[in-house]
Amino acid sequence: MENRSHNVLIIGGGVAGMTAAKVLDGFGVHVHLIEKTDHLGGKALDWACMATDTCQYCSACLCAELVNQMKLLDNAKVYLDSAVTGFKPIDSGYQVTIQNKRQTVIHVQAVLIATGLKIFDPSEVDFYEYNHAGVMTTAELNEIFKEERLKDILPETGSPRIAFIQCVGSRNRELGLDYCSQVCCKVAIRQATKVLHQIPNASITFFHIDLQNFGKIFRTQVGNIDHRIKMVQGIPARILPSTDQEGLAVIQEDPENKKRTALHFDKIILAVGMRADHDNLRLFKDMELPVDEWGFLMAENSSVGKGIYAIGTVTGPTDILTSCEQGKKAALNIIKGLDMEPPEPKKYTIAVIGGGRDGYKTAAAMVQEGYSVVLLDEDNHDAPDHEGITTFRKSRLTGVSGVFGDFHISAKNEGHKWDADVSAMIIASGSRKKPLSRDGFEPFENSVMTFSDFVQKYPNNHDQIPANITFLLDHEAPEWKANAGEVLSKAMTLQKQGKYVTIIMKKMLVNGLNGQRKYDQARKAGIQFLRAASSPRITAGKGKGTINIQIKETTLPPEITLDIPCDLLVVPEMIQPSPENKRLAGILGQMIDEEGFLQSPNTRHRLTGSPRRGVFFTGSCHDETDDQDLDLEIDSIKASLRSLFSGHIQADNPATIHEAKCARCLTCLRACPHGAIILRGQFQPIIVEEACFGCGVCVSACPSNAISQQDEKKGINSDHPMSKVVVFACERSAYLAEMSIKGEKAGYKEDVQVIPVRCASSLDIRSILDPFLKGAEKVLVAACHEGNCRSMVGTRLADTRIKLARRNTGITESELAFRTIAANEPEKMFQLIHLAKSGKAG
Amino acid sequence: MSHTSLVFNSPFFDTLNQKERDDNIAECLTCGICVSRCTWYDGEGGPNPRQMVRMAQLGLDDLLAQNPMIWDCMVCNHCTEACPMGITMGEVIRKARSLKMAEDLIPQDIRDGIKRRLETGDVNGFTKTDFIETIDWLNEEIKDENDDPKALIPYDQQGARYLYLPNPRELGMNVMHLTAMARLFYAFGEPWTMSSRHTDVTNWGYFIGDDDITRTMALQVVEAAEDLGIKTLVLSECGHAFVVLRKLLHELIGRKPGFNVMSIVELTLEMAEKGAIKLNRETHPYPIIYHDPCNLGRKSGVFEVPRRLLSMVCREVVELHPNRQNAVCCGGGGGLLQDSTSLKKRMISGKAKADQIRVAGAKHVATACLSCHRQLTELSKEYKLEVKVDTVAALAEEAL
Ligand code: SF4
Ligand code: SF4
Ligand code: SF4
Ligand code: SF4
Ligand code: SF4
Repeated sequence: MENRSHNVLIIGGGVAGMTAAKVLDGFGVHVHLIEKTDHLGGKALDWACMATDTCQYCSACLCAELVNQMKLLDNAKVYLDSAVTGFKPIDSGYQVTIQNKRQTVIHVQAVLIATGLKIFDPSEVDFYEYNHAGVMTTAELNEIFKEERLKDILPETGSPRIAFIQCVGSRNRELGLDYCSQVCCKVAIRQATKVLHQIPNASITFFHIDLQNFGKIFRTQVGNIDHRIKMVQGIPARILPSTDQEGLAVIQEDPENKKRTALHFDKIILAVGMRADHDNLRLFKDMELPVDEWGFLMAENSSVGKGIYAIGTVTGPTDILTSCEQGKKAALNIIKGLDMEPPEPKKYTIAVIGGGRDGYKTAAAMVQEGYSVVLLDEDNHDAPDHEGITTFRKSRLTGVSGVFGDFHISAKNEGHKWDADVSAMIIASGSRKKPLSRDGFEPFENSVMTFSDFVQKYPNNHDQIPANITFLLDHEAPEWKANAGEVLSKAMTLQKQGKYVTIIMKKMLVNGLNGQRKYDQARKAGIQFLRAASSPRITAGKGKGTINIQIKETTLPPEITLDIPCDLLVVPEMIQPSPENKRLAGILGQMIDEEGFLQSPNTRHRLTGSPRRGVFFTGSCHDETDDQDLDLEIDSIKASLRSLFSGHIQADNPATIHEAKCARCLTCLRACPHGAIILRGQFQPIIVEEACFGCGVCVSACPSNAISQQDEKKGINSDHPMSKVVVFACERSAYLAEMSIKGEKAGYKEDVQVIPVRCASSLDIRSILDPFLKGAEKVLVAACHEGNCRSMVGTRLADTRIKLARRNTGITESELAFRTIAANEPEKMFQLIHLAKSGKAG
Repeated sequence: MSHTSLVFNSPFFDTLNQKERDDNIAECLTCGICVSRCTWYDGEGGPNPRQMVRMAQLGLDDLLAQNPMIWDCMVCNHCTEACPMGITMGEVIRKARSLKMAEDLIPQDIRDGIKRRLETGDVNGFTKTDFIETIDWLNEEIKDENDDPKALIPYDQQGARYLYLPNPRELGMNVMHLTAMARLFYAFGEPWTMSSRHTDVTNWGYFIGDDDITRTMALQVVEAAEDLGIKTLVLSECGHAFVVLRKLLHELIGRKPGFNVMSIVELTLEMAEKGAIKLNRETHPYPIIYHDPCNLGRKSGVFEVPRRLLSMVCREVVELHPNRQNAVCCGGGGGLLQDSTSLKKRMISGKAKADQIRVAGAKHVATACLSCHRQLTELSKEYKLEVKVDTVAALAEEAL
């Protein structure tokens, strides 16, 4: 065994472990990746693609891509079907015994635990009729989607009635699972969306406690579907077996009629939660790791012991993207723990755009990493000057040019301009608080104040705080998790000081592993929570309290109007995207999402990245982030920067412009989705290798055929005759899906030639038509789902080009087809190819 | 349209928010789980468990205490069996019924029964003379069949080992059950007795949630039993009596009574298992459904004893689905059956039970509570289930 290199053990081959392995591998660290099953991918690999016509941003397909990337690592050794059976601290780290068919003993300097978790098994409780064929979990529905069988499991006629029941095995203290599993609301909403896409007349009822409606793009997704499904607050925990043709039933309240009635369904989907995998507890005990009462590892800044780190769902419910970020962060921590020299950070200047909490925190973190920082504060936040940070206050960003490693930014500061050369940029410009609209509160507006005003007016002196205080959440828009957290903490403090606190809400966001507990404790302490079924109305106080708030309450009989005597109504300001975002996005060549936050929701670049290498986003300018999220994002950016500056993220098959052929039309400059083309002199476009993603968009766009890539369109334009059916498959989606088509189906390959392409849009019309000249009868171009293309525009470009090709040649859609697909949709890929072969490609 | 005001720390809220964890009304998560689990649905009326818990949580004492829902509730705890916060509906309802302002809504029959029980020791006003006349008459009948004097029903026998405490129905409409129990005791071969001083296993104080009345009624039993110096008090098959006299007695009267408490089903099983009696399972050569009385099952945790006994006296015990911890109430619990105006309601509240029995398919049903027994019989008639309902102990007697 080589002693000189650094050895790191990663236990668990899911997304978290694989991401860390990839980053560590880049640094030349020798990774030993242990996986207990016979394949990498973990739980995330089981999840189906949720795309409808467009990507739903579930990020499951990233896992399939990661699995493929593991094959390409230079310094990683993967042990499948393996377990750690021995663990012993030694001088230089740990001696670990790995058991599979053989026993291997290795010495490592650091250990990363990413063993994941388990999905709750509804047969643990006996009231969900889980044995009944009509009842399945969200995990099983996933399988159905993967197998493209949704229509097979639902009745053919009429409108299938489907219920989703949330929080199955979560938020339940009696089951010892008193935390919110965080992801199941998102999973179920996306599944419901996908069901409706495939079966538009399906009638869906969504039973929930508090829809955890937070996070980038999710509010928009909920808004797109909530009027098409029936949302019911309250989750059934009894399913009546069907006695006749009516199907399974659950009982729902009908408060208007003072009754409770049975509703019938064809399918009931249980949104199962996550629980710790107790199989690992022994190992954790041997390793003397801190485990919480649920069985999750208690990681502090991803560390659980000397040289031992833990990430992903072994530390608590976590989504795929967050697990990946944690993987990056832990990799950086490991690198630092191994005392590997950073590549002269002083050389690099990082621009941080935005003052305020996000900007200052980010800037300080970058200085700590050793980078020089230019901080551009659009306002005039009064944060202290920090050594190593050059702050420009009241400055507006006016231009950005250049590429990663060599950006040139210009800004305006009260009339005069300044500019700077920076290596990378982090946008941390924050969000805005919407001023409180007092409509409907008059003439009592004096008794209404915003949360910020409240905190400011009564910083400490609780004697002055009135006795009865009511908080109003979700007042004009969905609450942000940060608001909910803030209000809960404040309410608890007030309650301890003897105040009577009421919280009016539509839902409670119970974010994080301890969110539910905090909410439980608040209720136990006697804070009253009301679920508003109407907007609150304020009237004059009737004795107790100076004002009286009236609402209808969801859980009370509808004829009751509840009076809440109180002295002060406190309303947290809604958070909204900064109006500046659009301008900023324009300057950066980036997108805003549907709500107006910076950064496209495309999961290929989230959480913090962008299609433009070296441009990052963090904080509430791009997503709903609390302090914990922000820390993670900053850490992940630190990891990405260190990888970038160490030259690990290498240009993947970069393109080059043959200047002799170049007509200097600058088509490529406009076309490059990654901002990798700059001008030399005034007119000569050149491609900067470090910034190029190798997507080939420019290659197909160049009217002079002046651009080429090293590994030129694998197999296209060769002189060989082609098969009857030719499939051009994007190598990030369709090609990966094709590779995972199961063995027993391999026969489909006859007469089919599958050609991987960099990006569907790297195909120009000539290449698309070429197979027809060489004997092919059918051509299928399979690209990423809209919204999932790493190069953003690929799907649309390819689609347009194919339409054009058909129009120009008269080739029909059944001969030349275009389809979108994700890496985790092998069955769909199989069906597409099958259809193409059988002549029904259109 | 009515207005009501949120109240912090209402008296009711405070009584229900005493424990470190669980049963804390303040902790209701408004998850709605209980709403889906009450067995009274698809018909008029019935309780809405979450609304009841929430009224208590929000200090809406008047609204709850004066709500007919608290009297529709069968106090069966099926709803909160799956409550993620461990709230128990029975606690909430009993405390709500005990509130001063809840008094007006107590059903007249229950009010009268309690009065009679406190005055005469029997809920039907059955006096000592009535009792002696009945037993003497029964003994006449017994003599015709069995000339062994030990077969007679003994009463007021000092120092007997067992004191059998019957359900009032056994001294009225259902004396056949009492003679059957007498035959069981005869078979056990140990000295037993009844008490002319106290003849009633029921305790309706429990229904109205009044701890004082419940205690007074329980003490009537305890004193009578202690005076006779018996070793074991044997309860007739009665769910709520089991809870009061077997589960809560010690806590309720604040001391350990001078005797053990068992139900007749437990005693019969014990006798059968130690071989003191022989049971013939071919007496009932058909499958029999077992219905878990809520008070015996979910609330007291007695699931297997009656099943074991039943399995010794018939070909097969058929389970309803769901059963045991998640069993469905017969629809007559919580005092509903004791209210003579409730028949129409009980046929709604019991529909879920009727459905269960129909799906199970068998034509015989056994249970271990005489109230359930009556309700199930009425359900069978209403829903044309055509099942014969018996108590487990009665079936055991037949199998002697
Ligand atoms: S394309 Fe990927 S991210 Fe988009 S919905 Fe499908 S699996 Fe999810
Ligand atoms: S509230 Fe939390 S636990 Fe419940 S379904 Fe939603 S994400 Fe899962
Ligand atoms: S290959 Fe793609 S990323 Fe590279 S220069 Fe061309 S368009 Fe830009
Ligand atoms: S009848 Fe039973 S299930 Fe219904 S509310 Fe009362 S205790 Fe709950
Ligand atoms: S099940 Fe429990 S926590 Fe849920 S609404 Fe009912 S009483 Fe409240």
